Amino acid sequence: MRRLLFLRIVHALGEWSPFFTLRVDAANRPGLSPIQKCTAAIRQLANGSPADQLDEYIKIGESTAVECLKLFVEGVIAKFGAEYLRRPTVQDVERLMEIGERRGFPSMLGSVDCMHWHWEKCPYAWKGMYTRGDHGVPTIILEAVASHDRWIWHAFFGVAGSNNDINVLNQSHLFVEQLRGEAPQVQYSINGRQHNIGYYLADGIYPEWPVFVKSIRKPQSDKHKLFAEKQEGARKDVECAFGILQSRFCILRRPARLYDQGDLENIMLACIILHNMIIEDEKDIEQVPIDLNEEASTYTVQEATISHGENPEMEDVLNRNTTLHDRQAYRQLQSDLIDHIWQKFGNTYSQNN
Amino acid sequence: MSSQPPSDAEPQDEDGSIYPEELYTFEEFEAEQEVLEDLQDEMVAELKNDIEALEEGRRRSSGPRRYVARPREEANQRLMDDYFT
Repeated sequence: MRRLLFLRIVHALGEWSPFFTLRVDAANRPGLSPIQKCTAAIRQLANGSPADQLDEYIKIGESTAVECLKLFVEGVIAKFGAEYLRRPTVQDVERLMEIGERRGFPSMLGSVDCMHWHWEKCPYAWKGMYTRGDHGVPTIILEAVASHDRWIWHAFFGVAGSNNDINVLNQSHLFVEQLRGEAPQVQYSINGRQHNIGYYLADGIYPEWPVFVKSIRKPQSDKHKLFAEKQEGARKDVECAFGILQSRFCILRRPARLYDQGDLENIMLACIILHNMIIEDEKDIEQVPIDLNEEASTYTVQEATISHGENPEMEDVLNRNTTLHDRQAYRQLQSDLIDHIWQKFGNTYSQNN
Repeated sequence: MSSQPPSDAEPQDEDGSIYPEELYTFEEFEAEQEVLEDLQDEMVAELKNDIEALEEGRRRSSGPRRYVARPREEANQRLMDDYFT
């Protein structure tokens, strides 16, 4: 994180709460400065250091440091959550689709996966609910969607660790916007066929819906092999994003030492927001180079036409739900993508092998 | 203090000008002395404990509190010098 970004956060938090302004006590002695408080919070997030370690350098008491951390994450969510954890807008979707098209997946919105965070202070009575055999410790699950520039578009945190990815998906709000008809409308053609749902790349456990594109297990033909290779290569985005998130914010890699699940949720969301802010700040956001040799793009993105008020029509929602779960459409999409990728990359693939 | 009870006991016995051996055997006298000495030790230990507890209690409940100096302004200055100049 660069200094300017940090100072911007400090300044915004000062507007959000008087806690992050310099105040004086009754003896007219200045208290901890906002920079000290934010440094304490960031150090706990980024280094995963215990709260009382900061006493040495910043001269901030242990309980004050914990309070700083809790208020900091709350403030970051309140001030920056709307912008940096937004659902993709029309411009975002256009950019995502352009990147996707170059990689052979037109209309791809990112890749989806789950990550576990060890909760050390999980109440003993809940341990069974939060523990899954492959981790062996109580964990809480984060479901996230990430794009190629490691920007995290969707985060859903707080499901007990014993669930699998399908159960998490069923609880998450990933498709709520789409069901309400408020997501940007996408239209594209692959292999000469018209599709109008954006999709996410997913791993094997996810259901066969046209909103997910999965790899092929044990591919036999060259076509399938190439598709599996490309899909698996592109799906790694989300794993890389998790890795970067964890190494930026070491607190997520270490066991969580807070007792309250709500605090953990705030910390997770704040870390993701900060992660996105850093990406934007360091200009990692992918700029699509103009290539005149590319064929004209085959997609359009439109603002959703919202015809309903607060509550969408039940019938529309059900219709959208059926299209989301259409297994036939999934097979069609996959076979189209296999052909598309073979047309796009098949030549180089056969040369290399 | 431990020599007092014997000196207390001896005059009483001599007042009546009776040979103590007729009333007590020497073994009985020794046993009694032992009991008294034990009691005395016990009381002394108890008193000592009480006094210590009182002294400690006094130290905690009143008197000047001890503070750890936490020069936060200096820390702030150092932080600014290190990272924000």
